[in-house]
Amino acid sequence: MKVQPKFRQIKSKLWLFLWFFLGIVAVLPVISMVVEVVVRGLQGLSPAVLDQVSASSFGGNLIHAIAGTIIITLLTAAVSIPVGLMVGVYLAEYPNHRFMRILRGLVTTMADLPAVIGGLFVFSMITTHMDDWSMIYSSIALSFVLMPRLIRDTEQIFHNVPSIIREGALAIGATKWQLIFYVLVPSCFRFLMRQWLHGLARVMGETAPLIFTSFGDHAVSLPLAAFTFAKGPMKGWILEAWGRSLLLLVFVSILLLVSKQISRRVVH
Amino acid sequence: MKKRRQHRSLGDRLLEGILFFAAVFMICVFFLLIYKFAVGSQPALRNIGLLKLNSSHWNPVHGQYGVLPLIYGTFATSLLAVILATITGVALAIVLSQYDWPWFNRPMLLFVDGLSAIPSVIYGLWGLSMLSFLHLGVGIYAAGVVLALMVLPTIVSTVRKIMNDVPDELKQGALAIGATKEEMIHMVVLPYARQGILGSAVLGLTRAIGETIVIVMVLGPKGQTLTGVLVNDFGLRTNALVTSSLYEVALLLCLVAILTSIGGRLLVRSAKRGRRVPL
Repeated sequence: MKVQPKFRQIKSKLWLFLWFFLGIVAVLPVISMVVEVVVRGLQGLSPAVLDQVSASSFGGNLIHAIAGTIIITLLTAAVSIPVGLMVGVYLAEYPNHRFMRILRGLVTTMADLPAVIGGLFVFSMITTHMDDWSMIYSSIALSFVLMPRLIRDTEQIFHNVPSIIREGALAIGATKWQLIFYVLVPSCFRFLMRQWLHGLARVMGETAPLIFTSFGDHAVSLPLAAFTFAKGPMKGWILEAWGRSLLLLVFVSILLLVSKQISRRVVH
Repeated sequence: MKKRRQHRSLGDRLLEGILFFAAVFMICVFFLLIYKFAVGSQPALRNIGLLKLNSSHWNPVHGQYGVLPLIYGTFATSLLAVILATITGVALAIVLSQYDWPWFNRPMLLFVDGLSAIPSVIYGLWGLSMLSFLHLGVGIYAAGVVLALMVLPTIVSTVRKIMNDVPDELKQGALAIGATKEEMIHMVVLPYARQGILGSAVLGLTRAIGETIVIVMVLGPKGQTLTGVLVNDFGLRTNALVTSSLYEVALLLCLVAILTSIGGRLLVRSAKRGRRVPL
């Protein structure tokens, strides 16, 4: 049997090596990033550094930032999950008119709009400045970013439900709203939950919309504080930024791990 | 026998009404956004003119509102990022989809997931510390490399899906007539995925164009982008003309993002359906 000439086999191996090498080069930074965040973040969270900066009282202390992030995330969830679910169900379960196609196109486009745009949009809507409301402004801006993504995901989840389930429910006399409320939503609930947590984890780290909407000392959050400290003029502040980044990363990872856990338990 | 219902039940009509209302709300939000930005940019349009070509600098403090350097900065950083990310991302997607090595593929998928989950502030901080570690300065190249990492997950996941869809008959046919695996990939898999690769690169461009925080942190004073000035000059918002020109920049940014988004999605969608646009 005639074997492939040797140089072609060598060429094949060389290309494989090249792809392999490029792939590793591309993802290695993630290790470096995580290691650096953990090492420098722990330094930044050490009591000595924390005391030093809470004296300068700039950007609020750590507890403020943690509470701010949690509140903003919860408010964002409260706004975007209902809207995401409603519009997603509407797109997936109702007849595909021209209106639907326009809606889907607009939502997809909105999902691709830069996050800054959401921040500036909410800023343009603010007529009177009330610093106390900053959290609400911020969460509206984040919802602007999150809603379109949730809508697309929700629509996809409902499309994945086998149509035999719908036919079964309708055949035993369910009306459409009964079908949606008692059959489709419960059967998709795990997937929906996963998408919600996933989306919230992504949007939690968004900083750009917060710059335009969080004013004053009332609205401090982890990403914004990290950004402000990193941009700040003082040398020691960069450690503060790392410390807040580490906390942010921990929060994001918790949400993502929980969402992964949910999807693992799904059995079909 | 019960009389057959002529009308849909109240619950049905109510639910459809509510859902329709939510849908209309989303559409209104979009048009309100365009409307707000258009109205907001009126003073700038009237006083400085469209695209502000009167000056080749952007420096609101000195009354210079040239938008060309911003467009240049945006495309220079984003294109650099997309080129880097496409080269490495396609290589990674080839290994992930065509070679079956769990010991390599599983950690790689985990890392790609990690890249997409890390908040952008951390990319910025990491970029800064890498630059100082390597004794390099901030600038377009630095920003491009960090952006490339952020774009990578988009490209890898899209291209991998398309490469997984290459029909086995084509691949086996190539192998059967004596092609090595590398030749098979070059002659069958890559041509099949070409359009999807282009589409995912355009989608990656959309992401790179919209990225703000990393630009502000890593690009530094050596360049300006559409997103960067929105944040950097937001502090000057007490000046009405500056605010108004920021709205105009935002409008421009929306336009660019919408165009690349539609282009990328069309390419990827037709690639997934197996339709080919002649390239």
